[in-house]
Amino acid sequence: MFSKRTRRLNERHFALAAALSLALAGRATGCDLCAIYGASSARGESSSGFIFSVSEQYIPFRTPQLNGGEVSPVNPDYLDRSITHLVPGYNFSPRFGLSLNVPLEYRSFRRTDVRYSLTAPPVFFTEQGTDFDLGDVALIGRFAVVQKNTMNYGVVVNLLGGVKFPTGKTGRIKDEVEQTEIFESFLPPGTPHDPLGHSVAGIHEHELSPGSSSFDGIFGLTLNSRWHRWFLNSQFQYYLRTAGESDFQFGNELIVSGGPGAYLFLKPAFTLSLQANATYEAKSRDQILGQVSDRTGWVAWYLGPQLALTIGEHLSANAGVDIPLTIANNGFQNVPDYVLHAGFAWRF
Amino acid sequence: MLRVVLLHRLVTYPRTAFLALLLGACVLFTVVRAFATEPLISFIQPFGTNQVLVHFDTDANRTYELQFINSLPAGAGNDWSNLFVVNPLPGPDHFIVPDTCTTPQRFYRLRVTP
Repeated sequence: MFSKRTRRLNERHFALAAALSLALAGRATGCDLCAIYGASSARGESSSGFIFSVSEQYIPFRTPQLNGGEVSPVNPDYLDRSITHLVPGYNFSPRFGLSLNVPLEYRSFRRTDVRYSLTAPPVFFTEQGTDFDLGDVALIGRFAVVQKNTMNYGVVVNLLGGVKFPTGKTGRIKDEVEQTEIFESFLPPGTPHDPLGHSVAGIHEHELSPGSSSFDGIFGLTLNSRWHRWFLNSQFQYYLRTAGESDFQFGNELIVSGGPGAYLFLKPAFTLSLQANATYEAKSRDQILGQVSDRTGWVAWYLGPQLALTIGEHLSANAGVDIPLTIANNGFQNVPDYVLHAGFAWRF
Repeated sequence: MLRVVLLHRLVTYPRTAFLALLLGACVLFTVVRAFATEPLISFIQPFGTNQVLVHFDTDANRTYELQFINSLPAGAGNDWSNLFVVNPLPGPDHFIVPDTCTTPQRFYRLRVTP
């Protein structure tokens, strides 16, 4: 069930990560330990005021997989997705902050699928194009339950919680559910079937939808710990989905990521750190018209390096790549070749 | 130990090796044939006032042509026509094809290649 490819960290996953990047506004002072302390302190949001961050995530979904094994269709689908997150935020105190995640999504895609009709034979069609849309905006709060920072060590634990609002377009989901309804009307009552049984595409329509029309819960926990030059960061994220457009409900998602790292450069003007970041991602199956689809959902592992840079007292940046190790996807889906992510934050 | 003996015999007796390879190929061919199901129209059901639905399953990596003809036998200008074609897909699937009844009778068949 596992293959060499894995699945995406999608727009919804990235909402928390973008909010977390707000913590990267760093500062650097005179000595090595001071520089470490300054950067770590910045990660723990140890100051109040406005922060603005921009994060970018690029994922090419160009690997078709059937039940976890790579396949080679004649005319393969693809989706190249780029999401830019604009995240203004405000820390009311070192312990409590709010941020607004505004995703702008660009998609370039090609997909071949079957379109059913009530009155005529189905038709194979191929569509190709690009879209640029506003995604679902999320409001996320942060509360630091532990904030201990000294020159030699530091521990910061943040609790995160928020809501994703239905601001993105959902015409694609509506159309997909309509196709499900037509397909189901053809079946004798009680016939076992998949609600996405009408689709033969590796890129389903709901994957092209910038929004879901649902109010979803976002929960997270972050742990940042440091000892001298060394650190261990980890994140726990959970996305609780509710029914949205045409009763389509995305599956709940759990993401756990993190790993050890070290500061490579410690200068008065800047710090640079490198982290080995592993990610576990489990996405439940989606529900269409109250039925679970076995052509959605996956469990995936990623591994990759992540660089974090702080310059002066206001600017920080980070960049990384997640390389797929394994994926167990359900049914036929396109999965990512890799995940690129980068961003910067400015603390006012 | 058994493996060593077999390998020794295959190397020593090329004729035996050839026969063993031939036998293996035959077994493999039989297994592959067994997994590729024959094309079958599962069922045809009335739909609405003047339509029928034709159901059939498909295997991976094969082309299916659902064809119809209004009278038999075929030939002399009376040929089978394609109603719906399924190009090779990476996995098995199920298709339902609605067809409008415009004649008193219609016959269907499913062609598959390869």
